[in-house]
Amino acid sequence: MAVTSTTGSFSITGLDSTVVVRDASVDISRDTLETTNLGDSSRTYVTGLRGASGSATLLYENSLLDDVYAKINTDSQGAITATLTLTIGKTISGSVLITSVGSTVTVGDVTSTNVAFTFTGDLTISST
Amino acid sequence: MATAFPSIAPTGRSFVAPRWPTQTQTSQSGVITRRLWGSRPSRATLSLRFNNISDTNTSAILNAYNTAKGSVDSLTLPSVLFDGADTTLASWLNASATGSGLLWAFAEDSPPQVESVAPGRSNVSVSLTAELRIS
Repeated sequence: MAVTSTTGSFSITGLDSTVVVRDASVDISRDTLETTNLGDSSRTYVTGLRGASGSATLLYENSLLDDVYAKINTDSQGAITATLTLTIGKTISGSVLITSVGSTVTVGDVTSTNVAFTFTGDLTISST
Repeated sequence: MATAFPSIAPTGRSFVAPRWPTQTQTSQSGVITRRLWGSRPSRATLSLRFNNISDTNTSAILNAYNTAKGSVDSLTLPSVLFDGADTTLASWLNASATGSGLLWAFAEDSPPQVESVAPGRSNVSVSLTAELRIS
């Protein structure tokens, strides 16, 4: 299940509040375990573990780069919480580990940085 | 008294046909002579794989192993173990086609193996052997 919001909001605790998020997405997936028996003609499954990952594109001034790069550069990221809020008010949040950061710099344009993260532990999905 | 193996459909099955009791002699000239020492084949093996089964079914297999005291007591095998095979093939796989007297039991040196793969789910491997025995 992919959830993407362009008019909602996205935040990661610890980032400078002036960081502007251009887009963000969260993908929630559920493993399946195959239980097909020798007598079956169609595959059968049961649910397994749940996981989620996501990404965001951040826009900000160069002076704020340290926030994001410091998080991926540290050996222990600690508790970082990512929260994605959809337009209708539903929020998806949980502890994340930042797995990749990359910046694009273009002359005459703002610096954009892509951040990818993986959720660790339970997700909190609010009702609308 | 035979122990009933739990009625759980396997996800994988491998069978090795029973062996005939023979002895081979090779003369100095290279001539090979084989002598048959019995009238019945024995020691068939049946390896079963149960992937992602519930804790209840896993416990049932381990309970059967414990009740049978390992390889001591014989087993009665449910037909579900041979799902996917027609009746003719199933009669070979359950060793009944070779005549009466072959009894199934847990393999002596290969107890059931349990691999935990997820909460409440396990992969279980079982090795059985069919032997000519009294009970």
